[in-house]
Amino acid sequence: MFSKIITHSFRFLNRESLEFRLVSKYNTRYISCSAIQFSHKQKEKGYEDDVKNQTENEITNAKEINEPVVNDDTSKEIQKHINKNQQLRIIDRPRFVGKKIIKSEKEDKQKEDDTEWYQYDEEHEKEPEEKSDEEKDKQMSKYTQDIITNSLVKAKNKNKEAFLECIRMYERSSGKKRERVAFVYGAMKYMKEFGVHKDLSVYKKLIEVFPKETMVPTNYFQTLFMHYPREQYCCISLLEQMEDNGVIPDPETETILLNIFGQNGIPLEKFWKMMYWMPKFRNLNPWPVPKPLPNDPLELAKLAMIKISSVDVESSISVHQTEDIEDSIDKTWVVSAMAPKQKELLLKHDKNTPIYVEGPFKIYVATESVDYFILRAEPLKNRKFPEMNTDDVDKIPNPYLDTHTTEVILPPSVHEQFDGTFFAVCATGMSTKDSLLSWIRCLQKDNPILGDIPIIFTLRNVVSEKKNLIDGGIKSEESRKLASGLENVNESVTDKEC
Amino acid sequence: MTLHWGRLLVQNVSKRGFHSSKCRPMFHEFPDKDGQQIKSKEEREWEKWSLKRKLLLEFNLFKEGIKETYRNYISEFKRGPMIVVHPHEVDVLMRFTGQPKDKDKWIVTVDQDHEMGYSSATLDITRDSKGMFHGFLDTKIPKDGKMTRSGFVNLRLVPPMSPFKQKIYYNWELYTHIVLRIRGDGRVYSVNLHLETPEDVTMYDTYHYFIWTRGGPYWQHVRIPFSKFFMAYKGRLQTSTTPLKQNSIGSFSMTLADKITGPFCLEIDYVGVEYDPSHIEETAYEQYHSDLKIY
Repeated sequence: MFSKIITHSFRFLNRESLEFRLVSKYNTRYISCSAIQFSHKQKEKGYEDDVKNQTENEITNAKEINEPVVNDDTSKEIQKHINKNQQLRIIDRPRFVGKKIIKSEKEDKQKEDDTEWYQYDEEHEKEPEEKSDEEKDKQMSKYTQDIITNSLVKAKNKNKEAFLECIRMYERSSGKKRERVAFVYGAMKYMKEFGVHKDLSVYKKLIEVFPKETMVPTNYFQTLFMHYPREQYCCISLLEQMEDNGVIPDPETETILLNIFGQNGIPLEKFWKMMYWMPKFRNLNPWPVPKPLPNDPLELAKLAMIKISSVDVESSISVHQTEDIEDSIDKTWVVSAMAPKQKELLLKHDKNTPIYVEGPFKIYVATESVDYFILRAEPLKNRKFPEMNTDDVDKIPNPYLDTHTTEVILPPSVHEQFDGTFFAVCATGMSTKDSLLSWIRCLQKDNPILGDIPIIFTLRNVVSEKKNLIDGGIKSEESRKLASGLENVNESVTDKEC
Repeated sequence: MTLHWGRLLVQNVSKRGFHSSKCRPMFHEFPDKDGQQIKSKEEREWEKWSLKRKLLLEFNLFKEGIKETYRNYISEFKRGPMIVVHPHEVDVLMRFTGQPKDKDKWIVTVDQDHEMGYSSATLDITRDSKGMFHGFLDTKIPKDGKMTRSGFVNLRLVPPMSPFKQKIYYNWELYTHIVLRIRGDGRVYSVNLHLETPEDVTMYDTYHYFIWTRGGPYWQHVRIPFSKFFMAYKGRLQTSTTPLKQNSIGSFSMTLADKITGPFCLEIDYVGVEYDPSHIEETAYEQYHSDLKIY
């Protein structure tokens, strides 16, 4: 903790020299410094004008000194000037008052006109603020901008090769490559467009933009005060992008990083952390998915059905084409999953009580969502369970005497849940009512009992949910209600006997 | 909380005068979550009250507190000390019973509340008297120039309180597993155990693990051992994981932040804890110290 603070202070001294302090807006005590330094640098005219303006501004605000600060004469006048300034500072304003406090007090204090120092700060607020380090890094010169605009923004074929050629163009360019950081930040933005955001080799090429051996610290102090901090921060953000996209680095990246930043570089810490944690979580998903994910909806539907039917090991998945069935209007595919246990349950089902076809519900396979439908019956009310009060000591059954039982009550299967018994699950290409009808006709070939049981279609209207998808969650309360989904479900009930 | 002025002062003292890095070194961190803690409606109303009314309320609360402590003493005396826990017997923390009171036991937070995103979520009770946490997760980034990623949804149990409205910790030293009965939609949800310690260094320590929901109509019985949980500070993984302190867990929550825009739905039956005598593992992660100086 303490060492970090020291590093920051030292960096401040290195990078932003005294000149920076002269121009600083919020502390008047540095005016004196400027005056001293000015006597030495009278002859440089460009420099003269800058500081002159600044000092004059500050003095006019103070309203006590009308003399110009800069004189050709000796240090006596300068010393006078210093003394006056010191007095001013003590009288006028407390030193710790910063910018934010003034902002918040603005509303209250605008009515009061007695404070002069307050006005002083208000004028200075209008000036453009200093940019933070990140913004400075991302500023590009015209040279690097041209490379990125010509090769990445205006590229016709957005491939891996086009992206690699951009890096090659940058490396081929003559002269000192000063803006490596800006280039890497710029290239990182376009990785997803070119489809290389999950490619390790491209990340390696981007890291190799940084020079080898020049940034390796040679001192104890250099390592302590973070050698080349902007390059290190840039590399860390690149590694973080890898982490977000699930790209696990390999030992080769370690050697590349070691050559660039040395053993004590912070990017290497990040790398080791990634290598420790990411392989641990890589294979934890109990329903693994092929990488890259297939774009075909049929393949996705198959994966979704496998995921749902993993409850029962015996269940099998079958793909039907609706063209084969008579009287079908929509011609698509149907993926259905059913287990032999579910067939038995259908056989046992009472022929007078109806079965429901419900949906569409959503299931996610990795990043994509698939709509699915279920064939459900309401749970049995008169289901028998062994009635035994275990706390009652009076009636303990003797296990040796009462072995002859006529009825055996089996435990309920997985498909008999407390909110219904599920007979089958499916996903169709169109997810329309007609395609579901043909799904049931497909099932009827193996289960002829479905012809006797009345089937009711209770399908949800998905329009409300789709609206929400387009809007993307607007702040109004109406959209929240839409998102809840339950309130705007329009159930369309139709009785149809197959 | 009157920490607002203090925060501003500390920020301005350390502002640009001393350092010029990304991170801002602060010697103290206030417990108001980076100034993003939102006051509830009741809290805002309470501030408008007169001093007399406030005192009356405090007095009434104190009276109720005394009654509650008396009741607790009696119930504890009847039950006896918690020495023996029966194996494989789920001690239920919270179960949905279909009453509208169940909603008040949970807190829903979304990134939209802090103007950090556009996702929305609600907790409802279904026809089968189960909890249903559903809504829309959106990863669209608000254009304020600072945010780089967004999209989270959180559901937290109201942390336990003593009769005199002080924080208490769950004491789960005797248990080994956390048990959930849920029905998800195929997404990955994370289970978080918050260690809400008062020190600012360990204030945001949380232990996480994930649930890969199956999706579909079938209910899922999830058992996660405490040894699997790993530590993170403000959501960032740390290299050195210590075993979970089971006697000082402040609150329990579940989040969804898997970078997929779309509607989500998670049904919950109950949340509980369980003791499994065959589970001896303390942590699933390495405990040795490496030679490399990684912190």
